[in-house]
Amino acid sequence: MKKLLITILTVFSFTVCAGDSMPSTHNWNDGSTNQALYDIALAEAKAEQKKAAAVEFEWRDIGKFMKDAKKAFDGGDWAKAKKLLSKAAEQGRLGQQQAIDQANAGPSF
Amino acid sequence: MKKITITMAIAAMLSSTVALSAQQSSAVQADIDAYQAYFLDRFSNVSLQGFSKGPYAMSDDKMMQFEAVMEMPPFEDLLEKGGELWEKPFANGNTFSSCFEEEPFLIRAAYPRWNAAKGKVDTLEQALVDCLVSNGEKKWGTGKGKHAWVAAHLTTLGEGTFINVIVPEGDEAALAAYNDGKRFYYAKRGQLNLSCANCHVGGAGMRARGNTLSPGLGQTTHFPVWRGKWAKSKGDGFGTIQRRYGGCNKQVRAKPFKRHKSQYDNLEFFHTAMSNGMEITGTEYRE
Repeated sequence: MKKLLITILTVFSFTVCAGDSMPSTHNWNDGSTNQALYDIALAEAKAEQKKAAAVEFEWRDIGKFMKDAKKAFDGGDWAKAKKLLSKAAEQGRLGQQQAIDQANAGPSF
Repeated sequence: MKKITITMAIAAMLSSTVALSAQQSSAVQADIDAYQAYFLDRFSNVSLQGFSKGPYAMSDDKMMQFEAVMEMPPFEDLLEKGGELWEKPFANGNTFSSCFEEEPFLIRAAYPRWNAAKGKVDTLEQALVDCLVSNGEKKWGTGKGKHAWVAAHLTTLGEGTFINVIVPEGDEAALAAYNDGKRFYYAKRGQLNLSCANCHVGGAGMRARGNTLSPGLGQTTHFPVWRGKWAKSKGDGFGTIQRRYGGCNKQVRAKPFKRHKSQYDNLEFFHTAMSNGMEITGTEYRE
């Protein structure tokens, strides 16, 4: 029982050490990380925009949000870029939903 | 003599209209009847033809302003240029009229129309561009400028002729194009979640900021129009109906479609059919 307890504690301490080592060796705020996250967010926004366009319900400002996001990112404002890309992706999804909702649109008189 | 010729041509057109009307899809005719009845019932003081004046038909003050502008239209010189371009020979010696079977004054009312051979809707504005290309000329930009001037010239020549869009009974492809346009008209789109019908059927006559929303009925009787708004921004004030569709889509924060592709061609097909039986009024002023 004592041996088992020691083994568990040893494994646990290694895990904690491994976790603790990340902040000292990896800078989450360096450009490469943000670039990777930006690329992922942009790809998602573009994919949603493409899907909305395919069903002919793309919203007007998606492209603008992506342009503004690039400007913000290039200017070092990752938070703003992230927010804009998230908005673009969301509008893409809403456009797709609108296409589904309006599939049987017709007169009501 | 000219009067007799015009009278005979109109009589011929009307008789052909009657013949063609017999071929109208019954589903489409039912739509037209319901659409027109809605407006005539809701605005019982406006005649069918009165709807061609849009928001001006709903206010005496507005109508006075409209009539004052139309006494000396600010677009007359551009309309004349449109006429000159219509007559001007291409490099090969042909003119625009070589591309059309109809007499010039009958051309506006002949469009939009179903082209069974191509399986698509033909619009007058696209026919003008096609005419340039088939005669070896450089394409013009569409929707405004020279393109709109020539189309406006034809609309003005067509004054007094009747809109008569036919969706042939039994032609499934034509009906599908019409239904595409109909769905577009009634579908809410963009961030504002508004359809064409929200503003121009349900909202007709109501105010949106400083403007009165025009009724959908009769909107196609006078395009291209000269708009004060367009004159203030880019261009010279002239714009075709498909330019306006793009503007409407932008206003509800939807991405507009390219002009003269199926989306707006089919919309124009449906939208114009709803005004069947109304007279073309010639190019007019709008705010």
